[in-house]
This record gives sequence, C-alpha cells and structure tokens, in this order.
Amino acid sequence: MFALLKSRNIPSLFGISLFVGMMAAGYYYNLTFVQLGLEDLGTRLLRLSATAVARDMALLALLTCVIALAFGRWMTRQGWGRRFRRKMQLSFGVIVLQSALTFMSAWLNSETAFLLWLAGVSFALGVGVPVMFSLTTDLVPVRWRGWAATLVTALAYFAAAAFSGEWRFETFRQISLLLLLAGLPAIGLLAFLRHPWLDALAAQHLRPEFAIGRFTRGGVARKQFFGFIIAMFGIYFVDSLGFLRLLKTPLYMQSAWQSPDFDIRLFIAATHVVGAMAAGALYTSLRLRPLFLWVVGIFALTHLQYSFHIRVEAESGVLSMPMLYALAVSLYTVLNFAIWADLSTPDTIPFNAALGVALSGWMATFLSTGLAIAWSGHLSLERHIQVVDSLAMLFFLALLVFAFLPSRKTEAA
Amino acid sequence: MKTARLLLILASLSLLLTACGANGLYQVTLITDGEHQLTGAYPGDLLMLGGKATLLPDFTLQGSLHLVSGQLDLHGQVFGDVTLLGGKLTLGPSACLGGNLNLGGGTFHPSPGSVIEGHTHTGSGIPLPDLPEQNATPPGGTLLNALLFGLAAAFLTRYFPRSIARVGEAASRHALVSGSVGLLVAVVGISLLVTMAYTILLIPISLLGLFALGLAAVFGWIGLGATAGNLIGRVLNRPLSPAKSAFIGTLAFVLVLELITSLPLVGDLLGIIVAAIGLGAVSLTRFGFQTFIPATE
Repeated sequence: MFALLKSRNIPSLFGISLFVGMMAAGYYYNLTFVQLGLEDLGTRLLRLSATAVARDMALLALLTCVIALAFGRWMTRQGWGRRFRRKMQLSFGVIVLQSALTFMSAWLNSETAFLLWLAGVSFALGVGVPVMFSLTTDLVPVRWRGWAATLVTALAYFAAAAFSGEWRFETFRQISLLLLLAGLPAIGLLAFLRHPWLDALAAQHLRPEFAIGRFTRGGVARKQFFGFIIAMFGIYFVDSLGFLRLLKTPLYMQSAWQSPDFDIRLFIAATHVVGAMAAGALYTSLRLRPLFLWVVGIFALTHLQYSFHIRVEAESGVLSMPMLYALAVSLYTVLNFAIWADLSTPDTIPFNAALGVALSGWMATFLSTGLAIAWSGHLSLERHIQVVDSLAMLFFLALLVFAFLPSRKTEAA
Repeated sequence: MKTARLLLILASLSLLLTACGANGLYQVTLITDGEHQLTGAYPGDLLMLGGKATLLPDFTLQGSLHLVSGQLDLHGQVFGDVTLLGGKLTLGPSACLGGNLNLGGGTFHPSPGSVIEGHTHTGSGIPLPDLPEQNATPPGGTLLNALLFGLAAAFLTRYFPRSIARVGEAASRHALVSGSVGLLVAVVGISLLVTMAYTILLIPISLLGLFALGLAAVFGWIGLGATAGNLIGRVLNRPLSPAKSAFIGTLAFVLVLELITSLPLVGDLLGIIVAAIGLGAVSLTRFGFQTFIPATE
C-alpha cells in the first residue's frame, strides 16, 4: 500500500478505496440487516414462529443462490466483466432497490408480504454478488487483493461487532438506511458521470497486474476451482450450523456478541481486526492449503471448547471461545473476498464469483438453516455442538490428507 | 553422534526456559467434578469449576477461594478472599471468611452466625484475585539472562548455523508474515493446550506442547539476535565469526527487549509483537530446517 502511496497513482488509490468502501458497506448490510435483522423482524414484529422464520430465511438463501448464478452467467455471456461503467450502473441499481426495500420493511404486516419482500431482497443480493465482486478486477491490483480484503473484513466486522449491542430490527434498519442513502448519490455520480479518473479505472482491467489473477498464472483447472468451492462451502457450513444454535443460547450471546458490556464487544471487534490483518499478511505470502487448514482447525477447536463448556454446565461464558470464533471468521472472510477474483480473469469473474459465493456461502446457509430447523426439536445444544465439532474435525482431517497429496505446481496449492 | 548432539542442544535450550518461570511458589486445589468433603488445612487457593463440595468445620484454607461453577457448602475457615462468579455458595453457621467476599454472579446463601471479616463487593466492580507477584528481577538478573541467551546463540550458531540463519532471515525479511503466523500459533496453541489439559488425561501432552512453544519462542529470539549480530558487525565494519556475532547480537537483543518491555503503555504490546515474530519465524521455517519462501515469490 505504501508503494501505491509513494507512486502517487491517485486514480488507483481511489479505485481501491471505492472497492473497500462499497464492499465493506455491502457486507455490513448483509451481516446486520439481512442475517440478524430479518430474523428479529419475523419473530418479534410479525410474530411468526421460529421455524417459519428459519424456513423463510432458508428460502431467501436458496433464491439468492439461484439468482446469483443465473445473473453471473448472463453477465459473463454479455461480456460485462470488462465493462466497468455497466457494473457501476448495476451497483447503483442494486443500492436503489435495497434502499427502497429497507425503507418499505417498516410496513410489512403478514407472512405473505414478508415472503414477497424477501424475494425482492434475494433479487438485490443475487444481482449484487456477481456485480460487486467482479469490480475487483477493475479496481484492485492482484498484489493488493489480500490487503483490500483485510480492510473490507476489518471495517465490516468492527462496525458490526462493536456498535451492534442491541440486535433489534429497528436499529439495523435505521443504520442500513443511513448507510445506503449516504452511498446512493455518490455511487450514482460515479456510475453516470464522466471523469478522467473514472476513465482510468475503466481501463485498468486491461493491465496484466489487474487482469491476471494470482492463481490463474498456471491456468486454473476446473477441478481445482471446484475444490476451493467445496473447501469454502465446508467452512461456511460449519460456521453457520454452529452459530445458528449459539445464536439461540442466551448464555453465549449475552457474554459475547450481545454483551451489555461495551469492552467485551470492543474486544471481539478488535479480534476481528487483528484476525483480518493476519489473514491479509498470510494470504499474500502463504499457499491456500495451509490457510484453509488454519481456518477449519480453529473452528474445530472453538466448537470443542464450546462442547466442553456445555458439558461442565458452566453458568458464565468464557471470552476465549468467541475470540477464537472471531479469529476464524475473519480469516475465511478475507479469503472469500480475495480468492474468487484471483481465480479469474475479467472475462470469467462474474460467473466465477457467483459460483464461489453462491455455491459456498448461500448454499451452505440454506442447508445449515434447513438442518438447524430439523434438529431444533429433538437435538440438545450439547449434541448439536458435538456434531458441528465432529464435522469440523472430519473436514480438517480431509484437508490434511489433501495437503499431503501431490498437486499441480500452481500458487494456489 | 548427531542424535546426542541434538539432545544436548535441546537440553541446553530447555535450561533457558527456567528464566521464564515465576519465582514464587503457587499452590492451588482444583475441583472440576464429583462430590467432595474436605477437612483439615489446605495451603494455597481453591478453585472450583464444577461438582459439589462441602468444606467441613475443621477445614482451613490459607489462600483464596474462587467458585466458578458447582455447589459449595462452606463450614470452615478461609483466610483469603472468597470470589463467587457462578454456581451456588452456602455459608454454614460456623463459616468464617478472613478476607473479602466478592459476589460477581451465581447464588449466595449466608447462614446466621457466619462471619465475614472483610468487605463485601458485588456486581462487575469486584477486584481481581491476587495472584502471587513475580519478584522483581534481582540486580544483574537481566544481564545474566542476556548472557545465557547469548551463550545459547553462540552454541547453536556453532552447530546449526544454517537453521539459525533461516529463522533470522524469515523474522527480519518477512516480519509481518512471521508476526501473523506467530500470533496464530500462540493464540491457537495456548487455547489448544489449555483445552487438552481439561481432559486430565492429556495433561502430559499439554505440558510437552507448552514446552515446545517456549522452546520455539526462545529459538526465535536467538534467530532475531543472530540477525542483530550481523547488523552490528556491518555497522561497526568489523567482520566477526558467526558464533561471536550471534553472541553479541543476542546479548544486545535481549537487553534492548528488556528495555522496550519496561516502557509504560506500549512495552507489553511491543514485547508480544517481538515474541510473535520470533515464534512465527520458527514455525514458518520448521525450526530452521527449511527456508521460508513466500508463495508469491
């Protein structure tokens, strides 16, 4: 980053800042309003049963996944991966739709209206995934993708963890609306105005330092690409399945993410930042296999600690567990923001990003939510966490086996 | 011959770890599960993490009592503080607390006749339990530590010059990556070892792991010291033999580190960062057995 500052390449620096700002705001919206706020809206304000809300959220995940794949495919066919202005205009459209939906959410009063509204949210998210992720090849040079992902993760998680003590729909709606309305005119100007800086950004994807992803140098084998999707899917699945149950356990929420004590929330937020910084440094210097092993290994250890904690029937939470959780989450989020662009070229990024994010993130959320609904009636907290831990351990051992298998000599291995 | 030399080096390095130990002696009785009846005099503290315990009237505890979880009926005497963070604490009519009573959580049932000689603190403002303070380093102790580290560095550089050089190079040329890996190894490693210790059965492995972590940190510092020695040689423009250079560099490094960590506010943080860089460099180079080359180079 210092090299860029020294070079005084202001349009490039502006491009990186634009990407970080858009992605951090988008991810914050997803983390707070979508993942936490909608559940509160369904259960508390619309008085739907927990199972009905979980089912509706699973549908949202599935629909988002389908729309992202379809739109990513369509973008690739149209060659929009190379059209910076079109992507900015689409981003503006997504933000307009999200602002309108967020504004309208206060008037929802039935499950039918909620479902229709969720379909709209799915559409905005599904279009947003390939559009925003494909901006990476226009705005962030390959060398800085790990650090840009670090900034996105650190900003989004710090804000979400430190300043969201009260997980209420009304609070999330207010903050999200403020964020969307602040970004709307800025993105609108950038999408429709002409300026030499924007022209420079629109041509950046032609330069090899933007166009040739870190892992595409030796050519990306389809097998290898899907291997990463499976690895990311496993990570999302373990995280989501475990956290969905912890979310319903007041002991673990009140002593960590929802603690009334600001210092505890600040500690978790700082852990996210440190984790993201470590991930940024490691992403640029290590191969991907050790990084995946770290993430899955930490998840396995975290769930093992929760499992022990549940077994001794302790009456107060221990901060080391959410600390490890935050560390693992930051590590894999950085990976998620950098890896799909580094496995792509400007021509392939819309569909690759959609495949990566939709098949790993949204599909894992859909399946884990469905499983959590099925288990909620008859599986105890201890058993649930034990199963998640076993899955994490199994996944860790599988990755370990793969780590010792001979691989193609590419940077990704 | 090679194995004997390796064992000798490991034994010599492990001696350095004695410099890291607390000088005071700390004793604690730990209750994690089951039902217990305690009687007689107990030295040190008592920590209860689960189960059920009854401390009979002739029970005396020299230190403090911490109840995190479980059920405790106290009928005897505790000379130190009693801290209740969770679980259920009942004071019998013959119970006597010599220190303060800190109520941070859980349920508390005092009986008429029970005596609390100190103050009662409630809520989140309870004072932290007093841990035995490490005695101040005796005069010349820092210099002795630095000398020991310097000698170890000279010794290792004599027999494993390439390993030390690899660790030093990883720590100095890739400080950010080394620091990140070191931080992960330390945080995850300590968490893993503590979790293993909870199983009781794995305590020996946990102790071995802790020993390996300490050894890695020492090795990392020596690598950094050897690099500092090279730098000193270049600045002074005096070519030194590798062993001499490592000795001088490590001696200077440990003394400077001691000075840095004594700085108010930032001292501890800087110490942690330097330790993480050393530990990370050792992890990245597998104790100096391979050169660390970043994936992008």
